[in-house]
Amino acid sequence: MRLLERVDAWLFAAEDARRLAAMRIGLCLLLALRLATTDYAHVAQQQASLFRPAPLSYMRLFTHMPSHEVAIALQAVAIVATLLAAAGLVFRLALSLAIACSLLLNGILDSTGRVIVGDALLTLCLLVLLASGSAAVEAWSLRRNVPAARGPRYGWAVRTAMAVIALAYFLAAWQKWRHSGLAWVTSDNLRWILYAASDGSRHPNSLALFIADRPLLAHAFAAGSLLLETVFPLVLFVPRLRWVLVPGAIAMHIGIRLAMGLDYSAQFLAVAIVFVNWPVVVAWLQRALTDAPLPREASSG
Amino acid sequence: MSTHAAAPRYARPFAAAFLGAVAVCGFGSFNAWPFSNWELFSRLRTDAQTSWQAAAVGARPDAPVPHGYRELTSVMRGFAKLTPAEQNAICVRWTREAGARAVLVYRFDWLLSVRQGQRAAPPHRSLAWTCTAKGAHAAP
Repeated sequence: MRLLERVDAWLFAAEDARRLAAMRIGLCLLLALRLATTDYAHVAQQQASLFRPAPLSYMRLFTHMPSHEVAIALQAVAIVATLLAAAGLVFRLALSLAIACSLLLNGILDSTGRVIVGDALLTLCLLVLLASGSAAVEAWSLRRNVPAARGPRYGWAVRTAMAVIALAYFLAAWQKWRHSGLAWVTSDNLRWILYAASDGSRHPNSLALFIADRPLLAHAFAAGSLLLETVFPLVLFVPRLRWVLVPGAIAMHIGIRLAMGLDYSAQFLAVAIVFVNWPVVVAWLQRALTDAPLPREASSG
Repeated sequence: MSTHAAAPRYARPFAAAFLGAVAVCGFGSFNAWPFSNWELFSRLRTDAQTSWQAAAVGARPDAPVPHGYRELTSVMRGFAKLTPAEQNAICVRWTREAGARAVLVYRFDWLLSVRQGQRAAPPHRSLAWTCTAKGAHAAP
């Protein structure tokens, strides 16, 4: 009972309204970027026989892929709606529309026989943001601004998003422990993953081969990744560990991108947006700019 | 600075249900995107690799053939376990969509541990399935 009370007290602690607003702006701009740079149309036009939604997917409501034109239209509507939500305009309607379109577009990608995890965490955080309602547009918004507001009204969504992220990393570790155990580290598993990724790309990947060719290095990276994911939830209770584990997670995803070409940018950017205390960063920048010496006037000669 | 802005009444049930859904899907291995099971790369890999390619025989030059899609491998991975009726249905569709007399599905096997320079040694190719308008035929 006491544990539940402590969890409740942590989850519903007060936060600055600007922190929730930063989460709104950051996550919405990230979604807009993902929507603008992902090619959904090439999958939308593929053969009906290759439309294979996952067993529990909402895409099972459809009998075939949406057409190329529908995919493009969804993409355009979602980008506009996401930018409106980022600006704090018609927030709930715009973000609901953006998330609905995004779910359909990601559903298209996920209905080709394999589920792509990359945008899942961003989508989960956006759902939490949507649930925060009008609180998310009370600061740093084109609509209205409540000066210096603070309270659980702004904190619960930020902290729920943090808990979702921490849980996601822990679950990724838990699945590795469950399916592979310590052999995930001690076997040649990571070497085969890296060799397969390099062989599957047009040009050999020198970083992947450098690690895969050195078994001890591969074991070290595997151990580091598994340790990072396993202990990631500590960021919720030991704020100082955020300075280590959040950059560590970001570095891991950048390493995966460089070595294997897998794009987890939506995930690690969502982690940065949610965990960084942006009002503090902005205040620090403002102070730094104010204290900076003024540039000398140009000499008139 | 005001600190009295309370969370809305629905916040507690929402947070509990949402975090519960994330946990149930993760621990229960239910992949209900975006509530993922987070199983990516969780299973041990070996150095034995398999991939698939399809070639259409007598196809229209502009016709789409399954080998053009990376998803062919995910279809073929479980193909042998499908019922004959399901195999026939897929094969007939592929043959029709390719406008071909037959679609030949080849299996490629190789070992990641056997390297030639920066690449794995060339794979062993074998004909696995022949798809025609009548259905699927496993290679002998």
